[in-house]
Amino acid sequence: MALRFDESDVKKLEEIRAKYPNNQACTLPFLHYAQDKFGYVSMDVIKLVAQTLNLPVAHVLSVATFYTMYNKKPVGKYHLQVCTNISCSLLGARKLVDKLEELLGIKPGETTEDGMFTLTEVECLGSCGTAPVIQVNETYFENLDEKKVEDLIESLRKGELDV
Amino acid sequence: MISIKINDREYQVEEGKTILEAAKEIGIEIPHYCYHPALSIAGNCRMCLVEVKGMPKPMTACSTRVSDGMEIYTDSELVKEARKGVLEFILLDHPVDCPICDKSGECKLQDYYFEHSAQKSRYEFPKERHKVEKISKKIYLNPNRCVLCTRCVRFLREITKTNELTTVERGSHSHIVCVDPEGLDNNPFASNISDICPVGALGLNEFRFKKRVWFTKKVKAICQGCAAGCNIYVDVSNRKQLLDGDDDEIVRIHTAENGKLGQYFICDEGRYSYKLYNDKENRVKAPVLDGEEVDFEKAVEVLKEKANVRKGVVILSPLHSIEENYAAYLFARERGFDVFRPSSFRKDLPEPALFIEEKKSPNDRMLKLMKLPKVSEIEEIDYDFALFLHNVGKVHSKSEVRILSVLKRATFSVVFEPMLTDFGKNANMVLPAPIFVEENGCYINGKNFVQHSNKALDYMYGAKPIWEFLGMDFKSEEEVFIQFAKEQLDKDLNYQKLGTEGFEL
Repeated sequence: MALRFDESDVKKLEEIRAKYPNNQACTLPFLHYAQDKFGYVSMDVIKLVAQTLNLPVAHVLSVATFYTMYNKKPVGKYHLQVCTNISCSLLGARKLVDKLEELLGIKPGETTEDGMFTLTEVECLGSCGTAPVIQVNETYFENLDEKKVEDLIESLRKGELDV
Repeated sequence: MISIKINDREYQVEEGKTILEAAKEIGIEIPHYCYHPALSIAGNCRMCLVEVKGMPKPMTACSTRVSDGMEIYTDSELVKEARKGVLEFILLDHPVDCPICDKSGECKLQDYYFEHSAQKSRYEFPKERHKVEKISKKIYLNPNRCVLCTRCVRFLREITKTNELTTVERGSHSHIVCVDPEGLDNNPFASNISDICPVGALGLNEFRFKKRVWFTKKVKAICQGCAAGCNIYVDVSNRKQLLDGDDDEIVRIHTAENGKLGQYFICDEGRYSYKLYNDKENRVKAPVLDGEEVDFEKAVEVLKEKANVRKGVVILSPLHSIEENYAAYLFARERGFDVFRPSSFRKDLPEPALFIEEKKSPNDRMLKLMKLPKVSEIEEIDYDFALFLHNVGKVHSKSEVRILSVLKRATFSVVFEPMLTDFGKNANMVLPAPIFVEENGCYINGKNFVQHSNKALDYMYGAKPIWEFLGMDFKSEEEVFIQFAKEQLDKDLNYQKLGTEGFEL
């Protein structure tokens, strides 16, 4: 089934469009909107955004692949983004990644078989004061250590946390 | 005009030019990959770094405009160091597979490496690898060899506006992908990306593994495809140069730039037209008289006798050079024969058309300038002698019918053509004409540019210029041209004066 934006989407997209000087400038917010709606930025999503903005597919593809925060592959229900930039690394981010690998049985860039978790290493999340940090979907979990990570995964599995 | 200093010498240059363009005009070559005169400035290859006095860092010559009193150094220690560094980075992921690369021998990366770097790689990690594939029927892409100059991307974005290629990902993962293979198949200019690629990343499927470029002779000629008169390089494999026993033939046609004409690209139809000229089976291999091959002397003798009549006609060709046409014209004038011109074959323009012209003949304008009547104006068609010049290509279908009837009704008809066509089949005599690369020739394009096309191959299969068959006393092609320029254009022109960029009338 071909992807499409429904009426309410079109209305919201028009509101976004109104804030920018031209279609090209809307590429990023439109891609974000599409990612929120469809879960990830597939080639079909790129084509849809290009068509909506009346831009070449080449342009949207180039932009979407340039930025790492657009997920080109489907992600699990919880997208665990571990900051491994300098501050977090100094305070043990590496250990957190190892712990997560052990707990979930996946490597960074992979998704668990049940589709619950995706593990990714990311660059600085801008929260060095509370390092090390993991971003789960849109929520930050700060000042972590291995024990806290274990608890975090357990709570997420139980569905106790709203992220 | 402003004055700048390059390498401590003072020059007067035009304001608003970039350092690279100004230096190029003066004759100083600044190495570059991403700069192309017909495309927007990207400044991403960093190869053109030069030192500008007063600037804290080396500047990109392609994007820095000259200003009054600017002092530029193009070969200082800093610049040499910068170039070496840039090349080291470009070569980090490069496979260095020159022995199997078709660009080898005309590759900018090869040239610049030997000139500016010549050092061993210090990189010890696995190289980034991408799939090598045919991205369209015409073109293959090897992203591993790519230097990411984005000339191809900009060409398809800015010139053809079709956006088939783009760069994806970033940093060391950055590479070119094709998002629209079908678009490339249908793009009438797509193959230009192989020419503008400074390295071996984009190439023609047809030329792949076909010939090492140093075994070809590169000759500048004029495309015969339409009235645009695009400058082309004809690469011929020349039996005499070679050890591998190849026949004399055209290996490929590629773009030769002509800044004066504003032409930096050619169309695919012109590029692949070389196959028409390599057609050896249909080539007229000797003069043919009433179905039988005769030798050159016999042909000249017969022609002299048969042309000794009162009522004759010569029909020139927009497909032939000025030289061939004008020699035939002089022959007619001497004898008081009628002279006519056929209309050019026309073809609908593709989308986008850019510079392609509707008229599918290179020299239509010459016959028009001479104000010759069209063949449709021939009233009395029973001639005693008829001569028609024809070449690879077509004339307008109405003209074709008219000419055929003239040839059939004439007491003695002669057709001068390189490939046997219906015209030759309906004539008493067929003379083997040379194809355009076998002789020097000039053409006047649709924009009134007289341009010179060079000889690349010797006359083959007994082909000779028309004046030799007609027993006229011309020593060279140039002699005919000089006479044409004097009598018809009222200009004192020769090949040297035409130069490489042509002469605008």
